Amino acid sequence: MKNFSLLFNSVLCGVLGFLFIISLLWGESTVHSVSALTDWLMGKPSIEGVIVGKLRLPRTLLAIMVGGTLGLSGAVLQGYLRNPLADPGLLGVSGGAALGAVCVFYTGLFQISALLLPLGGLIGAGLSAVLLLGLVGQGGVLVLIVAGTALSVFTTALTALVLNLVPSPYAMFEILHWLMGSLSDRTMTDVWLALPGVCLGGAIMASCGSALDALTMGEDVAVSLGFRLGGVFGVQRRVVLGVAVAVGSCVAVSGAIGFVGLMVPHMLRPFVGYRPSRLLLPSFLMGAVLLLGADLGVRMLAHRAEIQLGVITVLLGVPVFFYRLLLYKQRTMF
Amino acid sequence: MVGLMLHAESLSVYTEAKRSLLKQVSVSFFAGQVTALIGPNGAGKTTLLRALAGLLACHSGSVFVQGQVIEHLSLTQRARQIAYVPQETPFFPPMTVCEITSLGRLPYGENARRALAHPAVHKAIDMTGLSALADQNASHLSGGERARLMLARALAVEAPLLLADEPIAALDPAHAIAIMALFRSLAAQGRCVVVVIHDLLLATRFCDRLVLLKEGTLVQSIAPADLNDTLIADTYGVTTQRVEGAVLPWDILTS
Repeated sequence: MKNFSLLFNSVLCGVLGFLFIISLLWGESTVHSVSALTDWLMGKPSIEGVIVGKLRLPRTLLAIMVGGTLGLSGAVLQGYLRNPLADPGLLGVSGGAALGAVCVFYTGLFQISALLLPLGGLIGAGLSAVLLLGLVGQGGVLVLIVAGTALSVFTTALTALVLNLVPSPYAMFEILHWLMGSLSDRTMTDVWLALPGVCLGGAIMASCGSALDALTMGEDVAVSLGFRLGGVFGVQRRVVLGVAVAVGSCVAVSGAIGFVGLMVPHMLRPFVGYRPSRLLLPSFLMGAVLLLGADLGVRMLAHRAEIQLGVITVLLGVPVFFYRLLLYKQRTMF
Repeated sequence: MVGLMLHAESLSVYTEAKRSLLKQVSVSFFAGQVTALIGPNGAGKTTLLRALAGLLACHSGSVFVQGQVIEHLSLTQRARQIAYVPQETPFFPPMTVCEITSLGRLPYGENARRALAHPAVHKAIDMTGLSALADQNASHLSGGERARLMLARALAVEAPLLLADEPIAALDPAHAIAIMALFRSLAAQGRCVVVVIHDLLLATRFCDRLVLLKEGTLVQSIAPADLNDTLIADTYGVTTQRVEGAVLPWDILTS
């Protein structure tokens, strides 16, 4: 089993590495692979080097970070809530990040500096995370779900209000476009903005693995096995904080990219099993593979139709769910 | 007394609506003994067991584990001392019997592979009669098999104290006897076993002591031989009939 796990993760790493290289070298303008890479690595100011290092590298890195974070968060939340339909969006933090960015659009602040857009997202994510933690307090899983849903609905309502008040159709188009989620025209600044949150949140989530395993047998058993669920350093606080920090940072730079967090654990369970801790690393890798692949698809289609990344992921997610639906129906029939 | 493992001192627990679940309950549990917590529904058996396991904050009183106040033990220390089997079996994810049993090794920080290979896990599966199902998907088990799996998971902890809430409620007579016999053999190894049980025949046959609870108070802590008709009538509100010459159920149950 362990060997299979190792093999499976290695295969995912291999696919991710392959897509990483393709993503750097493939695009509208053809670059000579070796010279472009050496130029960029040596810091030689050539056009090919700039294309690879300044345009494609940030986009590729962001796809890995955002996809990985969404996959991991989905696995952690589904494990913690013991609900296979949990999604990172459930906590309302991504809604907060979107609202923060939309406010930057609305006020026109993004014209001063492009940096203010992700910063607005980060502030929105941070405020909603604080609000969520305050709302949940010492409450349990049910309180968390209700508080997350309330926050999510609230931020969506406020976003709709802002959209409603936007004076020009052009600004509205820009906002709607951003909300769909995309990784185009991102820079290394975006990477640096999201990286601390992704690393911190990812580390916090990774620390919850064994607690999630224990929780499969219910809360009393988890506590009797030595895991603290409530309190400052309890599992719930760690799950919420980890997901909020990591997903908030990602949504701030990429916009809302749906379905990855929901879909990835479902795709993996038939291969790696149902033990939540064993699902974490493959979920990160699979999320990264999926988003990088989807982003490559977006780039391939770019000269025909401009399709946003978030739209592609949702379109990819739907067949997975129909397939699961058929499986469940078959199981209940026989 | 020698071998005092677990002691509750004046435990009181209320609901939020101030209904009293436990009233000033003081009771001790000893190594090498199987103690049954008996009493009618709502008597406070589960509440007492959860309080003893440290899963419930009491409004007054303290629990001592081998002489130490339970709150002074770290959660890991507590987990290695007390294994707990809850009353409800959860909806199992499709993990194997072996995988679920190996969760009992979590207090020792063993990784999944080492936990799966640990002798305690296989011993626990053997003891609960689940060997033939070790690689089966736990979500396909029957109610009784699930109950035994929950027990196996707790046995894999190899803790000196085992607190089990109605571990035989879902079992057929043969398995119920086998599990009670298992508790006896654990006690013979010096462990302290506390079980919530409704079957008075099995309780009197296999337990060293019966702790009677009613409406949150401790009625009496007695030897099985002292469970008489008056006590049963007082505790449960039922009358017992003893029929001369009848084959007693526990004769039939002796396997």
